[in-house]
Amino acid sequence: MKDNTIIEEAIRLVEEGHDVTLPAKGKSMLPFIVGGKESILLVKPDKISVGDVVLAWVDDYRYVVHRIISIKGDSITLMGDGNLAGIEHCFFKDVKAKVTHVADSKGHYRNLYSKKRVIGAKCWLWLLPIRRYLLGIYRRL
Amino acid sequence: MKIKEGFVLREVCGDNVVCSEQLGHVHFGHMFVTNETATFLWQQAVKDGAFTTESLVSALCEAYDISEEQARKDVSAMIAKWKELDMIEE
Repeated sequence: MKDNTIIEEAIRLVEEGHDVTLPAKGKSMLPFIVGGKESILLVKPDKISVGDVVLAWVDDYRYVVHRIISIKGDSITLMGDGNLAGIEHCFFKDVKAKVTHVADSKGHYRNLYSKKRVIGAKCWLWLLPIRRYLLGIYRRL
Repeated sequence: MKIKEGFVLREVCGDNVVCSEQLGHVHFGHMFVTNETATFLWQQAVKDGAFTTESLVSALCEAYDISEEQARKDVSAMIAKWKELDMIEE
C-alpha cells in the first residue's frame, strides 16, 4: 500500500468517527514525534488552534503531519518541529485530523498537549535560530 | 478456540485486513493483510464463534475444491499465524 493511500484510508476512518493510530514516518517532527519508532493518534479536527499538530493536505500536493504556527482568517501556516526552515500553507478545509497523542514502541500513549509539552513546543519555536545545534545534540543522544 | 474481541476484518485500500479496533479506535500498526483463503477462514471463524482446526478444515473443503490434506495444512498454518499475532484465544 502506498503512503498516500494509507493516509487517505486513515482520514476516511477519522471522518467516520474512529480514532486512528498511524505509525509515524520521517524526522520532521523531532524531537516531539520520532518517525519509524512511534505512532500518532489521529482524531477529528473539531477545534484547532496554533500549537496543534495536525495531518493536513498542504500546498496542494502532499500530506504532512506538522505543527500549526499561525492562523490568519482561513489561512493556516504549518512547520515541522524537526525542520530548520520551510513552512507549509493550507486552509481549514485541508486539515484532515488532529494529532492528540503519541504512542511509543511499547504502545504507551502520551498526551501531546500536556502543560509540560505545550510549554516545550513554544520554547522549541523560540529556539528556531539555534534549532540546528539542538537537533544535532539530540541526534547524538 | 475463538477470535479475541476487538479484531475486525475490514477493507483497507482495496485489501482485506484484520485490524485491532476497540472502542472506535483503529490501529494501523496492528494490521494483518489477508488473502482470499485467510479471509474465508477468518469469516468462518467469526461465524462459528467457537471453532476447531477440524471445523475450519471441513468448511474450507466444502467451499473450495482442495484435498483435506491441503486444507489441514492451510488451516494449521493460519491458526499458527493467528496465535503468533495474539488474535485468538482457547
